[in-house]
Amino acid sequence: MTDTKTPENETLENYRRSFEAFEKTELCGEGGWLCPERRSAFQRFEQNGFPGSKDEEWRYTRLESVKKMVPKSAATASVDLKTMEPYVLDPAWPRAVFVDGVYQPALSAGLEDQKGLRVMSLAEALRRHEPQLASGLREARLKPRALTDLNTAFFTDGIEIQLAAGTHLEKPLQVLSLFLFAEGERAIHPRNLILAGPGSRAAIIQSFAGIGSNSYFSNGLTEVRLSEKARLDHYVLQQGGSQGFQTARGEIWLEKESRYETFMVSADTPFFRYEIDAVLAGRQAGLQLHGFYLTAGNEHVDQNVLIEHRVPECTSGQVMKGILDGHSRLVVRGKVHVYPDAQKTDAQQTMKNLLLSRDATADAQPQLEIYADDVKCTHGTAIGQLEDDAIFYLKSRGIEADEARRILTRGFAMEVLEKIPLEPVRRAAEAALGAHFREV
Amino acid sequence: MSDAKELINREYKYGFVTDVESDAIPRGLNEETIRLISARKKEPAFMLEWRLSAYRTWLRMKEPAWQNVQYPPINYQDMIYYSAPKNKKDAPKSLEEVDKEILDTYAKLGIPLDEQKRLAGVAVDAVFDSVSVGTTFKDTLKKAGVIFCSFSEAVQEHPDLIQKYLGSVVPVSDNFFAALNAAVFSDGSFCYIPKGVRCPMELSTYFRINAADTGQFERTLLVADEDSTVSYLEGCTAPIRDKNQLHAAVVELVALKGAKIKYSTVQNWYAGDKQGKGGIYNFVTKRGKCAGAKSKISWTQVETGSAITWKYPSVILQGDDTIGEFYSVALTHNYQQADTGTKMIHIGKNTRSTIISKGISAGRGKNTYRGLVKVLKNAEKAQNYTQCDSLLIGDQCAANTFPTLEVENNTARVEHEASTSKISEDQLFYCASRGISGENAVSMIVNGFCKEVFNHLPMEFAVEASKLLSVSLEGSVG
Repeated sequence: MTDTKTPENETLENYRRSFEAFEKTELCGEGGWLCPERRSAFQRFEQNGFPGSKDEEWRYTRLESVKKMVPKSAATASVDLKTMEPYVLDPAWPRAVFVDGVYQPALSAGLEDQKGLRVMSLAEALRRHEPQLASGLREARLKPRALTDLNTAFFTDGIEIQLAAGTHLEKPLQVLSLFLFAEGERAIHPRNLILAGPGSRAAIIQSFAGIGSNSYFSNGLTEVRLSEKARLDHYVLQQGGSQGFQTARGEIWLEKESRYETFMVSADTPFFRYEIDAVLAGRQAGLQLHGFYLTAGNEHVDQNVLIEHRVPECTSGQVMKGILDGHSRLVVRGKVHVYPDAQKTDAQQTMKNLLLSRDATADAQPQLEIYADDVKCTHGTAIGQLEDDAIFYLKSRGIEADEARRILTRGFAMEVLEKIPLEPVRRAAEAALGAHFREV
Repeated sequence: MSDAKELINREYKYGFVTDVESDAIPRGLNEETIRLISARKKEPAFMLEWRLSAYRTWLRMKEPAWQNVQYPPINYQDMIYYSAPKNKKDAPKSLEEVDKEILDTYAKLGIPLDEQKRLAGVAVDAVFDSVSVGTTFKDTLKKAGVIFCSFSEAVQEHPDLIQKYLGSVVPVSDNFFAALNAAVFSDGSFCYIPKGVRCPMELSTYFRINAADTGQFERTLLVADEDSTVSYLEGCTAPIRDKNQLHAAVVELVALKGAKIKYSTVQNWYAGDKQGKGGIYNFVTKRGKCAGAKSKISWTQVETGSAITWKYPSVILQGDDTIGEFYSVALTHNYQQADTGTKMIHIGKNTRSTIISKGISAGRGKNTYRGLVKVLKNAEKAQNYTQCDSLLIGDQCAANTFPTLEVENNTARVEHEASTSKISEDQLFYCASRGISGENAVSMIVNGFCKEVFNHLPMEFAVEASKLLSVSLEGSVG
């Protein structure tokens, strides 16, 4: 081979070396059955490389900085209770805690208490040759994508949550991921599996917080499957302090009459790309997305949503609200795809972005792709700043301009925030908003 | 429902081939073809150079595939790139000298040239195939100082203007089809409105595709000098043909300080038969530049024809306080496909744009709105309002909306709304109970749906457009 060392090649070479090393470890081979799958996933990744500017879905988001990072898996780090405490939303709730992508039994609590709930770290499940997990992963209806392949090739840990038929989870379950990376730059690929049995009900919070100062790349993938009449409230909460690049993807599968409601709160996140890919596969399934994004500084947040209405009589709704400050950029892309037979579909999409600073950039792509005629699909998008009239009105009532802006911005945010049923999550989101204004 | 059946089976009204001997150059495309076209048209050296550079650019380009339409690959070597009616050599000096058959063609289209003079003050520069055969109302326009002529004529008589503005809005490297057009375009229209002039009449061009296998590569260049005003109409019909015909036109509009351009299109080319066979591929690049402050460009289009319509009439809002508008009705029936929309690029301060797009899909028609609203860093207080509505008729059609909003300035206000709906049973029932037949009810509802756009059409076009919609929708409701 002559010298063809483009940065791209170098990246792939790094990954190849990393994968070859990983293949020799126990973590990869555990379970045996997984190895061939990992290898073919990696080969696909090698072929396609990272998504680039030619990829329409990555039009505004570059992974250049991620590519530069040499992929190394994380060593086990230890964190004491005190460090973790501020991120625990409610000590009474069951929680599973991960540090640098590795499950921490000592920090986790309350997972055994609930009947019908089965929580296990993926590493443990792999070690145990958990047959159910094997079938769960094999059944994966994952769509081919570079980052998905990367995750499949490298994942070592994550969480597996199973809800038996008819289980009603009394308390919400928090899955807390802390990023410390004391040893320097690392890449992790957490893989999660949530299987909600028929008629089960639960609230699950996935929350992320940075507690170190090194950069990292976290490439998460969460698969959610809702059986008939299952109901899941899924929270994705950024708790701040993040120093790295985070991509996460949720692949949601909804059976008949199931309902998935997701609340996305992102604040103080330097780089976050969150993809939701939901398939409404059973009649009368419903999905509701509430997104709240607060960006400042040089942050880059990219929310990418695809909702597929494959069968009739399903509903979906998306409300996404962004507040942008500093030099930040927020990309919101949402697509509703209505299949030919999916009559009586009701799909709504709203994206609103508030630009607080001169240098922030907002990109919005609300998309409808419709192949059925008896449907109700709408979308609305607005990008702008606070109304001068509204500020003037408040000033005429004796409220100072700054305070007026704060009130109006809060009002803008509340449309999403007040929909959050869980008090601690709502408080965390409001606190992020409050903190932002204090800093300004 | 025998009436409905009859209507469904009605053949394309404007389907016929005029038997005029064509002076075509051999099939295929290479530098020689381009030199030949340029020589035939006796073009100055700069034009040949420009064409050749476009051709070389085109060779390096790939045919785009991102658009949401499907068609068999086009063989660019199997096309005739130039054909002129034979009689061109001794060009007609008046209408009487124009080939009888050509005049008949216009008569069949309902736009006889000799009547145009008496009609509603509309000047027509009719493009029959690739060479203009007759231009009317030259004198009236001349008095006002307006230049309105075929592109070839303009190249001969106003090379300075052509050299200055050709490619200034759509550069040769803009896209695959624009580059192809720049290399081989045969003719088109040129229009220049001098400073402070309000064009005394609506300018109009009828395009007509004729002579089998002739790809049409029209080029329109319209320059509105400072504080001038012009309204331009463009409409078309084409004969029935088995083989798909490519039409890759380029339209460039330049509005200088305070100028206003209104460009209206009614497009009714042959859409193919009910099985989706034949029909025109309409791949057009249309773009206007509001170069000077306070200028305005307004696009209005009614797209009912063509097997595939693929175009995005856009406005570059460069000057401060400029205005861009886009009003569109796109209708697809049978196997028609349309991927259309607009781009509004806000560069100057206080720029405003409005987009109203109405897509109607019937049968197996596929309709896509694709648009971009981009507000650049310095576009203080830019404003955009976009509304995209889709109407579905039948359960095998498709309606897509792909808007993109990019905002880099916080004083901007950008809004987008879209909805998708169908003609409900209730509406039809209500009309039926009032004695309105299904066909008429659909036509009425559709016309109501499109009203916001039709209101922006010049009167003559508005009437034609609403008739066109009714005809195009025939057979869509049992």
